[in-house]
Amino acid sequence: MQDYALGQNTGTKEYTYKARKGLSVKLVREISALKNEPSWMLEIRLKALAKYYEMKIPTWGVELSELDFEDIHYYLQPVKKLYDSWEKVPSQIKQIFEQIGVPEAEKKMLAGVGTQYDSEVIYHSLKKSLAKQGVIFLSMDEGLKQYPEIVKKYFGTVVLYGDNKLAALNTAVWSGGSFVYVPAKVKLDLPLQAYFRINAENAGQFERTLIIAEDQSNVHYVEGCFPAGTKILTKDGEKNIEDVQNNDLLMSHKGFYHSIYNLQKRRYTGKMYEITYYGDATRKILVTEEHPFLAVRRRYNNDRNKIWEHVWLKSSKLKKGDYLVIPMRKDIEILDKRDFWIKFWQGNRLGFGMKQLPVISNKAFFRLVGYYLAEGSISSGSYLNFSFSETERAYIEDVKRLMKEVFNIRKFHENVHAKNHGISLVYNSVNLCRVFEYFGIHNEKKHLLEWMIGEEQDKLKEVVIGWFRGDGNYYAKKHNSGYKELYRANTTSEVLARQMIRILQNLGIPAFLNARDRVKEGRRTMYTVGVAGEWMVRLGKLFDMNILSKLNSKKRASKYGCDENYVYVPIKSIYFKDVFNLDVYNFGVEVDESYVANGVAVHNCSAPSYRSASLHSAVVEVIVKEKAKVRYTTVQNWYKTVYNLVTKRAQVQKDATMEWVDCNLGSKKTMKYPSCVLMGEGAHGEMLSIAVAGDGQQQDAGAKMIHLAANTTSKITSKSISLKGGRSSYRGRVYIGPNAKKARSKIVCDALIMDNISRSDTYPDNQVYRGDAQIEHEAYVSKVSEEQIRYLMSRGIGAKEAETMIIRGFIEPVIQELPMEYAVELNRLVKLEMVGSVG
Amino acid sequence: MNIFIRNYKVPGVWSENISYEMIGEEKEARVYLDARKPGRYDLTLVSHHKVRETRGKVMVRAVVGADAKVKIRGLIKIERDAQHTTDYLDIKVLMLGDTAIAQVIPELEIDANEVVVSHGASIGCIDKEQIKYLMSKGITRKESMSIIVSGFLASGVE
Repeated sequence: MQDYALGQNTGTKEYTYKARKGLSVKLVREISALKNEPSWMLEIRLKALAKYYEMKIPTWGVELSELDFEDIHYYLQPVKKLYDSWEKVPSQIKQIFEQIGVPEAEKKMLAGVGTQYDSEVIYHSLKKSLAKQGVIFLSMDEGLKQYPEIVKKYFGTVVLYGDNKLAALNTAVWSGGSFVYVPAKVKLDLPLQAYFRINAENAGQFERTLIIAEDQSNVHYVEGCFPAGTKILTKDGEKNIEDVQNNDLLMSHKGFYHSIYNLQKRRYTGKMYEITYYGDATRKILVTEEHPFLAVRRRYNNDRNKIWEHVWLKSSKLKKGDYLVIPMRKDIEILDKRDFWIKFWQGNRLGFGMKQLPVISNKAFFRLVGYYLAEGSISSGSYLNFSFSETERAYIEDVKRLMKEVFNIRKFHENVHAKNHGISLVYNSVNLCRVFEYFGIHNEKKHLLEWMIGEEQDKLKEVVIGWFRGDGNYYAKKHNSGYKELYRANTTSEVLARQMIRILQNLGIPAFLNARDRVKEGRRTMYTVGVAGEWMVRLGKLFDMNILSKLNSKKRASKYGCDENYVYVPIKSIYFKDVFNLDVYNFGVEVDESYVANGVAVHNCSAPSYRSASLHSAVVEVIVKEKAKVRYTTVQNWYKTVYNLVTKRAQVQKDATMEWVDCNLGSKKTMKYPSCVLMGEGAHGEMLSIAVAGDGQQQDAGAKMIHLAANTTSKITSKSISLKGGRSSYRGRVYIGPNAKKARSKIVCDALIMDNISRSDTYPDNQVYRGDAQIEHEAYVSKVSEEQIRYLMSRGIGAKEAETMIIRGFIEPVIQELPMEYAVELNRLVKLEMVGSVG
Repeated sequence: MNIFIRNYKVPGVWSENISYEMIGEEKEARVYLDARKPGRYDLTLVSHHKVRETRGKVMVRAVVGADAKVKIRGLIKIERDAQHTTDYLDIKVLMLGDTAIAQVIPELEIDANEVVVSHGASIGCIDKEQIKYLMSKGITRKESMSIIVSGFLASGVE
């Protein structure tokens, strides 16, 4: 497994101040006091907070019910001081910025860099020449300290705190952001940029930007969950979590195998939970605090649950007695023949070669494998032995019959060992031995082949019968506590024991695993697979043994539960310890977003609803005065758990121009409608946007153009791409008021839908309160045309590449408008999104 | 082809649901909204494609006179199963007076990918040049307005 090359969570836990989760008047006062703010700012904050409690979450647009506003840290302060040169920034924080390329950007003589690390701007620089012209580019907090008059005059005038619930929230708890002041007649050609990043999980970003700034966000953090050594169930059997590769197929909680879309590894410091469960005495699960397990809450103290209701519970929320869930394999493949690749001798000149040997894979073969696993051995490379006791005559005859049926071999030797009352049945066949070698030669290495576990139940039964006949026994003993009765089978192979348990589970028989350490006796650890209680009735049926469902006139009972798809095992113990800097791992698994770790179903953590979400709720206010021109560019690539709910608004005065360039690639859900209030005569507003909605994403973006004065013009160009089940929407409003004489507006929305599980919507609202206004609206939704792809392919371009080229062409008009660095970045991001390798 | 035509001349509220339930169905709708009388005109059009290979075309022409308020909502909704569909919604609104009010909401909800769906909406006023031209031919202002309006209403019909 490789480390993430970019944007690792460096785990800066050393925040100088970390507010409690949730929101309160006290917290708002604390924030304000910490920042030494003037009293009028505190007043605004408190008013906004009151308004926030009053207002409701918007019900239109994206679904926000999953977002728990009480589960967010509203203020984090990483370092107390602000740094004026790059060298003074602490190396840990520097590292992050180096990863996202800030120094390079600086080398390219960008005007200034304001970087926001969590809630506080820690680094700022501005080209001296601009400073001389009187351009102010500061963190919002500094701006408030140094230029309180300017801030007081404009703060909250464009986006009033009562505008919407999120604007109220931002006004109440804002921290960080940029303050830009460009004095009259100063032309600012170079783009100003600031990088934003959410580092601490659950940290809200409530930056407040006033006037002009360009922001680009880039977040890549990974969330690991299990330490090394945890066994993950893959299609090739159980594997250590650290050995899982990109091309492995993992079993999900629904019992099917799915591919991995990303591997994650990180350092973890914090609580590590240790969980043990009944049914497997040999294993304990180590897991980080927040990892969700598929579980069933215990209903009765002294009785087993009767109804099995699944819920995803975080490890910290699990209690002793709750049930963990083991999925049965549902990925069934039934074949009558299986090919075994075997080695064979081709003569002195050629040496050994490999050939394919088809073997009938029927019930008889499965039972034969069962016998082999229990009693078989291979000696001298060509002798296949089955050793039985002389009382097991019937089984010997059974093996002979099966050998004839499957391999059509009738020749055998029978050696009688009078001394230990044994009989061994010997077959002399090289090919036969090669086939049985697949199941392990030595007892402690014996195992089943994984495809056998995915076969039909009738065959599984046979392998259980064969194995139990050899290694199994029926155990009954009177204890002080009562009469104990169970079926059990012993083996020294751990792998085999676990596979047998999985087979029994697939047959609807919950079995348990015990281990006995026999080091003192100089022997290998013995693994015991046992079936007890009511489940003995089911197992007994396989052997034609009639086990009564009542024992001593009491119903047989067991701790374990079982239904058609799952086996339920109760938690025996759960406690936590603190760990420091431990490597932990996690995956993203396609479709079901879950996998099986140490036997039980767990969530992969990266699916939307089971990751704690982060909230980014910024407010950007821009005031463009007479004949001024401002362009605000955003390339948003938040991590895919972030709710990006942003209010951006510009007030455009006479003959001024405001341009929003907005690219939305990241985040889980975005709601963003940059607006221009065209309040001066001849004002012009423009919006250029791209949205890419991938798996689990919803991009609800658009624009608002409010024409209030004569001869105002506006233009909206929106491009959206939906793929892999993503949903992108354009939601916009053009309003031409009664005073907007001869106002004109043009809206163009183009949408591409890449596959049949994605969705695209357009919700424009054009309102005209004036007879001489003009609005043109066009929207076009299509898929990438096959004709275009075919044309490109006829020129020798691969299908995938052709698709990418067409998408590039589609977003080209926006790319053209971006500063070079952003254009490169955007191209890269879009390409990554298409390949699906963005983590 | 199934064509249906609606003419609305007095204020009111209307809702038209064009639903495609048979594979290969083809429909065309033309709605003329003559809102020269003062009052509220509220029109909702839903073109709902439920099955595949359906083709639709919806055209709306509206003229809005003084003190009239027109609201037109046009939704094209394509279900997940309705692959290979095409639809086009075309809304044109002509504003005749300074006190005319129009609200046009053309919406798309697309759940399938193999589709070609688009809409266009425009709101505009009479070109003064056109009136001047007609008046230069000896037609009164009122008459020339009327000619332009009827020409506008007829546009889009092949």
